[in-house]
Amino acid sequence: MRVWVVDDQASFRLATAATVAATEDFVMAGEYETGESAIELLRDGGAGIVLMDIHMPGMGGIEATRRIRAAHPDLMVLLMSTYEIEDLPAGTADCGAAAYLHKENLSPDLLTRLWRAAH
Amino acid sequence: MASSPLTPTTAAGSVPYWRVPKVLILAAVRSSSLLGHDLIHRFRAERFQLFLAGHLAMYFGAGVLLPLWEHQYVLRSPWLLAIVGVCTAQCIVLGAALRLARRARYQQSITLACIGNWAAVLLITFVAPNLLPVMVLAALVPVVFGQPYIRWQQGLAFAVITAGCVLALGALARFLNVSHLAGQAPRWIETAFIVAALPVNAFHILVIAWNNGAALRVSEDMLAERAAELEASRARLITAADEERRRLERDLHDGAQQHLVALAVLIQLARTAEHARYQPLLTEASGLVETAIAEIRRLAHGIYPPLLVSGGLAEALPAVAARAPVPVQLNLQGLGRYPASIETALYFCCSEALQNAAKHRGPGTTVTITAHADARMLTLTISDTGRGFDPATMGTGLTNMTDRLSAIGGDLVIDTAPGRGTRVTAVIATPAQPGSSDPSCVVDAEEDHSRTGLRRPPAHDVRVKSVDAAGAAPAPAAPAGPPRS
Repeated sequence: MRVWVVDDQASFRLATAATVAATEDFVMAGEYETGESAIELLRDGGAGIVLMDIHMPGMGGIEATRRIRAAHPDLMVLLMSTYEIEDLPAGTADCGAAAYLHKENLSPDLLTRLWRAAH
Repeated sequence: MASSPLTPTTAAGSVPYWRVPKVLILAAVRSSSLLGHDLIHRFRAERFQLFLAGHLAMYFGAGVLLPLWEHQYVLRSPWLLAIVGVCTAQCIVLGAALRLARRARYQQSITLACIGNWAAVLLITFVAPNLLPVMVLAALVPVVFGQPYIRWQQGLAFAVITAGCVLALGALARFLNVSHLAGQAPRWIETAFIVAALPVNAFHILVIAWNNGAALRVSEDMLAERAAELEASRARLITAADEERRRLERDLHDGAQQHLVALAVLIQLARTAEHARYQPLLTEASGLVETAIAEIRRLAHGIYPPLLVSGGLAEALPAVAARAPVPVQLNLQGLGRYPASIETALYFCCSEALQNAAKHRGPGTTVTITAHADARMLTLTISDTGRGFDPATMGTGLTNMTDRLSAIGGDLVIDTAPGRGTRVTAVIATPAQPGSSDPSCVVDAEEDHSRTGLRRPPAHDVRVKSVDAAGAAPAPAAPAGPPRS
């Protein structure tokens, strides 16, 4: 299973890469710093998981999710941020993301369970 | 008289070059430092000295020189010398008053001038009763002029004494008609004197009155200008403080928070590895990091609500309502986007009112937040069914909110009493165009809120700790109508 991460914070990309490496059957497929570059580069599509930060400079995670889902319906997008659920911007619910998770809860176990729940 | 109301030429550094000649002439004429002097203060000082000097010149000319000339060439009478004596004394008194004025001791100066004047007019009228009309006017002059320079009690006393003096002048002329000079002096000199002095004195009083009016107008203008400046600077301060809070929140969130979150993930990862002997340590580290994250999140949220920038009040208010410890019903139709200062002020008013409602809540207390926006005004009402409180014991929070709102031109009304709940109403004028009032955005927020619910229990199947799968609880496909009841 391929995993992409879109986040402007290098530290969190590093943490994601480590988590994915520790997850059985999951591999890191790419890291992007902005929503724009993710849309640009995420061309090959296919099945996989995109871990998308909501708050990024530029387009932001919600709009990027919307576009990625429109172009690649097979991709599962997980929105992430460090904010409380109440503080998420409008559009979080209906942009096509499969789930929202607090960044600090990211773990191999959670990734596997989310993937299984979706399929 | 310093006849022209001063034009604002105080800040010499900011005088445009085409006004430099005028400023130089003014400086030369006024013969006082143009720099570092308060305008009104300078105006008063110069005006005072000018008046005293004029008064002195008048007494010297009409009271000393003229009788001396008359005594020399027309009529040798001791009464004329008496007038010269009285007026010389008054000239000396005025000279002393002028010295006092130079040292800015206006009260003593005007007191001296008034006393000397009362004595002089009484004595002159005693010697030459025919000069009564001129002396009546002359009696009024210093008191009329001096009013702005003395305390009101002294002003009142001087006015009463002057009235008494005028009465005495009348009595002297009417009943004590000794006619020392009248029988002897040629009538034409007296007539000429009265004809010249009467309008001069009347004109003098009118100029003083006009001048006081001009000074009042100038100071009123300056006051209004200063008030406007203060208002603007207050609003600027508030805006700057808000900007700073926003930056602080972003820094906390994008800086420390992000690193801690990455750390939390890595610790979690380390816990899944073997080496059971490190597990307790890692568990403890994990707990600490979680606490730090929660702490920073709470802190950052208190500093500035993250949703306010992106979604405005329509999104930020449901979030603050969801956090409140009392059930909140929201009625936010028609809310658009407004300038950041307005949104921030109203948000914090709301949050303060909610805290207040929580503080004075009883069993079953509910809060209703209602927004009403039209083209010009935005009204936000937060009413609760709690116990209410005595407005006299209002905490600093609501007082601060009142100040905050008034700084940007709004108004906060708090209506409460023990036993009948509290109603906080915030009203503010909004710019003509309510900005990009995107109705879908409002509806989104409403839907989102109805989905999340006010005290929504965290219900989700794949929720591990605080994971919420939005996709599994899709927003209702209901039409755009606000789903509140």
